[in-house]
Amino acid sequence: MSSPEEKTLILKSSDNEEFLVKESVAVQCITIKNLVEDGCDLDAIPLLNVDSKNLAWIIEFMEKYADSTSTDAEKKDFDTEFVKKPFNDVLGLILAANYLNFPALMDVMCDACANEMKLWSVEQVREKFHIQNDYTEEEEKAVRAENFWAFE
Amino acid sequence: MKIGCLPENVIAEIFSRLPVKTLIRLKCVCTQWSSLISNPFFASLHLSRSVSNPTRHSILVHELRRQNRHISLDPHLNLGFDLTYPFGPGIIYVGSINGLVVEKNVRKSENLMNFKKISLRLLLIWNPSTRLYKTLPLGSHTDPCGITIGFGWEAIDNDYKVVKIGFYYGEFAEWAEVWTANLDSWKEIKVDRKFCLITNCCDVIVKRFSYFFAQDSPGNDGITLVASFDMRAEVLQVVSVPDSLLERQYDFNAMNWKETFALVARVSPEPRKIYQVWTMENSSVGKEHWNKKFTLEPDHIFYRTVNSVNGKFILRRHRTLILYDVENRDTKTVGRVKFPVLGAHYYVESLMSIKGFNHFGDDARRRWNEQELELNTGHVSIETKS
Repeated sequence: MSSPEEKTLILKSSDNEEFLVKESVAVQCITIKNLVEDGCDLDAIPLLNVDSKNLAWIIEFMEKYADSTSTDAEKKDFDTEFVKKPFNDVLGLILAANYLNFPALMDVMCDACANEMKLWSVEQVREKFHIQNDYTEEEEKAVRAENFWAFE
Repeated sequence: MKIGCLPENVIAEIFSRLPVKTLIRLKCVCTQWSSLISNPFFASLHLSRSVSNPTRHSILVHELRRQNRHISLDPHLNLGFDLTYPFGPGIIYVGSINGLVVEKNVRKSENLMNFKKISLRLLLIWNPSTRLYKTLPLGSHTDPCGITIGFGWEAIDNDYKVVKIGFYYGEFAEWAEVWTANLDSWKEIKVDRKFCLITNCCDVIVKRFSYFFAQDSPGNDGITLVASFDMRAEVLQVVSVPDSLLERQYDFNAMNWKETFALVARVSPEPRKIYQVWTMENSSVGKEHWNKKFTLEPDHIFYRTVNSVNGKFILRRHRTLILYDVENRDTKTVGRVKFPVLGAHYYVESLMSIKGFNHFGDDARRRWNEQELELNTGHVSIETKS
């Protein structure tokens, strides 16, 4: 008979792939923790907004962070490598971390996103975030002129 | 509400990790981002991250330049602000909280008893991070007299307040009035405590309290008191320094230590410098009490004390500015200045703004560009070392 700490959960991605994760590791996601505490008795926990690509990464991250033998320095090195992903994947992981309510992952990914954004021009930001500029030419000119010092 | 492909709470989470300068630039991306960045709730979220992130803390150094110009320099950002244009020379720093800074300008005259009478000429609130400002109305008490000014923040209504206390000929405080940002007007405050103020600006701001050193009687023999103005209750309170420090005239300094008022008193005669650090809990009127935290014997002279959110003093050794952590005695060089330093003041980067904030005009901007040029061509040396 396995003790509660060794209980394993099945997490099912939106594209129907199933992943086995120890409960003690998975509850770093508060959404999953709440489900477990509320006595969810489904065979597998469906994560409708997380595809298998992201779920695999998230599990990799969760397991690193749940590992009590890894030091802070090791975690930091892991983070540095973990965030080296195409920007769209960074945004994808942020959305997944938000949906799963996983604070540690949210922290690391948002920091990474912010660090990249600091270096971009306004045009690059629009491109990377797929944002349509809804200023008129005059409006944008006015905003830039008012805050000219921020562009230097 | 989705912005681009991300919900607003997620965008806010990412934005809260960006410095103010980047955020101001990002206002140009689209109107929704501009709204979010200008939103006061977002400003609070951003501030809470700034407070715990030392890279978002800066120091305004007030230098005395030729023509009596006072320049505020931010060593961290390598930036100069010459408030002479448009405000005239002689701007004096009052205090800072949540990234907002209050400055004043006064006109002094001597009277027959050789005591300065002061007329307030200007009161200004500005945010050095966003470069927005507002001049305050001067209040109803305009007769020249001694004036002490305090600044603070009332969290419940998110209101910023400036308190003015007046006294004549170095005597007991006579009147007080308080300005609130939300109403943009002054209100009379009752002075029903007897105390003589000994400073012209508040010594420390901690959350909703503005603290001032005072005495219980005029002249040199008075007992030192700590007067405070509670921004929420809008009352003046007075408490004497700890009993064990009452006997002699000690050298008192004040600081913000982990969000409480701390008194730093030099308790040893020259040449030894032994300091005691006491904190005061001031959660409700009449319930102040002192706790002795620790004793220290640093090898630096306390030249200027500064408001600090994390228990550090800014010291000046010759022309070098040093951050001194009172608890663990760490020192960190912040920068070097070439002109006499009138003061060095800690502030936190923030997006905080009040009703009626304006951009500085072209004149000021031109001058600030000149300051930056000076900084870049080596006339002033400000470097940040870790």
